[in-house]
Amino acid sequence: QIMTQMNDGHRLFLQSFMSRGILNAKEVKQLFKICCLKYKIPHPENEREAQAPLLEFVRTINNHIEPFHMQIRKGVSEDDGSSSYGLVCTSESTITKLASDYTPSELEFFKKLIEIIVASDNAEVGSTETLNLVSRLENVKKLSKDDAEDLLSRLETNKWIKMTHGKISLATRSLLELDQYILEIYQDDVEKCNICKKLCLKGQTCPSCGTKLHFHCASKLFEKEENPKCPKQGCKKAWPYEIRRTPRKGEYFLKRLFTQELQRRVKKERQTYDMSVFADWRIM
Amino acid sequence: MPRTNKQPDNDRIPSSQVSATQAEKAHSSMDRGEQEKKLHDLVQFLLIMDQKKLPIKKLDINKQVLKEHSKALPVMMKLAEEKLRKIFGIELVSLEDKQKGTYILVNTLDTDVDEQLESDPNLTLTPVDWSDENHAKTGLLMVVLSAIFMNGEVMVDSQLYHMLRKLKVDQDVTHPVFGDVKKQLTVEFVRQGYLEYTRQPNTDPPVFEFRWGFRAKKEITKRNCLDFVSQLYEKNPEEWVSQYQVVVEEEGEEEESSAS
Repeated sequence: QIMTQMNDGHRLFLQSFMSRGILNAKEVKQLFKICCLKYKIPHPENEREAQAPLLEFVRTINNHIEPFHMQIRKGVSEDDGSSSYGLVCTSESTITKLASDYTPSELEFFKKLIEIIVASDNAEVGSTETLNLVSRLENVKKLSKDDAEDLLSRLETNKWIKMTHGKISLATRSLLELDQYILEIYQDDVEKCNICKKLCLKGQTCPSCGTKLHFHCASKLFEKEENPKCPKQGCKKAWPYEIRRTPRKGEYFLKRLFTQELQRRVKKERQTYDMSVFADWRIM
Repeated sequence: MPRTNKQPDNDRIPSSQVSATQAEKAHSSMDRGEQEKKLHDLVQFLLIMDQKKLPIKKLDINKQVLKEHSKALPVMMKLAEEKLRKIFGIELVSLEDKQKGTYILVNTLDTDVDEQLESDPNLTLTPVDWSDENHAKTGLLMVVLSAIFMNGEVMVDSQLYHMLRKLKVDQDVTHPVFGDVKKQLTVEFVRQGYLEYTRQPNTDPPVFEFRWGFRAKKEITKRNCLDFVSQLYEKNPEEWVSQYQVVVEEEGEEEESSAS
């Protein structure tokens, strides 16, 4: 097949992903711009126009790295629905990716951590419970609790886990990289979101039929619903949860307001709202 | 480009010739699918192993990747070298002398984006992410490499420690960032290939010498160091006569080898 060749712009972009592992939507756009500037690749000023060239750019890179079991993929945060792009390993030895940074004991610990997170109520566990995992490590060199604390800190720095308010959960990077692993190993203990069909660890569960939705998928689904109902055919019971109607910093609210304003105003006068709010908006 | 192998013993057929034909035979005996798979495994292997910052041994490549197709190594390495350069912007370097039979990966891409970040206040991301610790260690390394170069490309350990002490980096004191300074210099940097640490023969108590390691030679030029020191002392590089001479010689060699 004829593939667009890679240039230094693509290579720098790829190296950045190899270095950082995961970047959020804003960072990716910045990175693209920087790579274009440095290597004199034409880049549209308007952020929204940069969307298509960016996707094409990533596609080119993905074509070239696919034979090496690498892909740049989009992931969505289960906490706030924000997008990130991560460099993932697509072979089933996903753990080989981690293998160079972490010892076998540490990998074993991480696997046990995944186990208790999957078993927990809200896909989060406390630090005490986590540190106690050191006693459950088998067939590997022992870890002390201090070692485990150090490991957790590194896992957080490298964006595999999130630690907030004393609770530990899997970060977007882990979900992106390990969703297949988790779905396979824990098939009977985990659900997929009814809407996006992806692994759903954190979300809302229908108390009637057990259908699970991501917070952000539920927000989108029930956007205009006064009386949200379970989407499952054969259930359709009232959805008893509060719908997060403003997923991100009031952007969503502003969108509705703006749309209404546009409909009212016909003249092409300069808008008084700050247009840059929408540049970040979920086209990715 | 990787350096060509030095001429082996005169009473044997140059090994590079024999292995080339054998290697090509071994490679073409593999079917297309297998050739591709091995190549892709090899590239992945090299990328992962290089993360440890240790030279990658031919032995390990054969054992873990090529296996029954070990004879095809020279051909596969050439193909891998091309992939690494074209896709990742990384150079595969075959080492010489003490490290013969091993490889390291060196970045050919200039990842410096200061100019781009300065041009636009909205841009704040550095593509390659360095921890504070890494930055500090690189700073230390730069100082050490420059000192060694300025001193005539070799420096006795006591001299180096004396100099560092003046910069408040004391080998007898646990440093807030570097920790055990002596270990950082004599173990860490040596292991990574940035420094060479050898014992002077017939010295008691033992005296050691520091030189540039194979990785330093690949990642940084003597010109870089001379410029760095010149900036520090606010002098012109030419004022360091003998060091400048060395730099010019090195650059002359570079031109020769790229022209040939």
